[in-house]
Amino acid sequence: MNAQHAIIVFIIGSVILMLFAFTLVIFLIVHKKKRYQHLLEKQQMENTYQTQLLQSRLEVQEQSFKYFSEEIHDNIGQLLSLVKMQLYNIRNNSKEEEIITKATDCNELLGKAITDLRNVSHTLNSGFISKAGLAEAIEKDLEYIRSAKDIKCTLHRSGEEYSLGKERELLIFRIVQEAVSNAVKHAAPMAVDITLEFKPGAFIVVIADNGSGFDMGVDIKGAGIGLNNMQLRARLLNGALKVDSVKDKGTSVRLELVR
Amino acid sequence: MAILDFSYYIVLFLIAIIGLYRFYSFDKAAKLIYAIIMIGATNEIIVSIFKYKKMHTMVLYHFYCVIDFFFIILFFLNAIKSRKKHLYILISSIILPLLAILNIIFLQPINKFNSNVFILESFSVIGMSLYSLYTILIDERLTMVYKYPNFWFWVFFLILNSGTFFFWACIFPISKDKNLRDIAQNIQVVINIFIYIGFGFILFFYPKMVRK
Repeated sequence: MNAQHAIIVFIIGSVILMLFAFTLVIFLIVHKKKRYQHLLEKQQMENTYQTQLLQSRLEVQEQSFKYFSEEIHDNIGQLLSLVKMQLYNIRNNSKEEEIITKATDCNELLGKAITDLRNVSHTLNSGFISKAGLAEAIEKDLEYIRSAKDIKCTLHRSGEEYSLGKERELLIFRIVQEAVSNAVKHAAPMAVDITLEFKPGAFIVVIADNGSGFDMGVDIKGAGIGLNNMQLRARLLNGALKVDSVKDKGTSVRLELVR
Repeated sequence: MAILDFSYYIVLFLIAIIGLYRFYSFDKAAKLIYAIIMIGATNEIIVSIFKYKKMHTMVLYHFYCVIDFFFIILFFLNAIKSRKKHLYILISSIILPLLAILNIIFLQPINKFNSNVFILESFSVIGMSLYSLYTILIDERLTMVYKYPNFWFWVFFLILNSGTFFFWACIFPISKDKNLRDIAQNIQVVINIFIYIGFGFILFFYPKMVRK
């Protein structure tokens, strides 16, 4: 091979090898980009599917709540009202002091039970929550807890109130309801404070109690359906849910969402 | 000094500064890249001093090539996170000097340019780059390849060695024509400059790329 041949081989060889290298690199980048887009689409589809599934689950749950609410209101409520009327009649027609006293006591207790049941029925009924609005519905729920559990429940509101839409308000209410119910059931608090912050760009709700709390490192891993449901609802709201707890100090649940 | 050589030294000097500036953010593979470039730069400086003192420079390449080759192997083993890293390091630390010595004894004496070892190095680096790029191709989790520094290091090694392979394979062993060798050498320096600028960019943006 003479010098001229050598340089031809050198140039052609180098060009071919470099072209091959460039082609390979471009192919790799394009292939990976396509793969990334494919993964992104797949993830989006999965998210949509999960959201739809979640919505269906919650719709079914709301249907059940509505059914229980109607049952309580129309059936059990009616029956108890009837019993109350009967007791009223017994008290009026009786001449014995003991029966009158006992019937009056029973009547009062029954009256309280009917009021509590009506409150429960209202807080289970999505129609009532939509009609009354978020703050009013929470107040109703707290009213029931105050009377049933003797816990100091307070609702604070700050900022100029606005509507977040019926569906969102229902989801927020269910989160609050779940958080309060968890506190009452597991933490035995003396007080539960709920704060609704209506900021111009964001809505924040904080549910804080002074109950027994739990160890965030250990107990949160075994958190039950309640916390899971709250997380799912927060996801549907595109909101950020944060749970903070200190053992023997209490727990706070904070939900923040863009208006 | 020719303008090309001057530009080449400027690029190497800038990489040295960038490397020092970013050194603590580098992982092992990036530190090895920096070491490879700095070994190359040191060799070029020593070659220039030898030339200035009219001493034989070819002997330097016999040592440089083996060290450079060994560091490149170390880089690839670290970058692809090979499980048998230590075994390969042991094998290459025995085989590389052995091949270099055999080449000196039987083929290219110490005062001749060791193009055989350079050919072997180019060929091996092309193979290792291709294999590394293949690992990226089959890695399902890695999608944004251009944000992955090692990808660019592999690409630069592939292009550098593809572009200069025939330089070692054709020009040096065959041609005795000084003009031809100079032309080829200039082409090689141009390729080196571009590739080292690429290395410099990646080393400079390394912390940002790793964060992503």
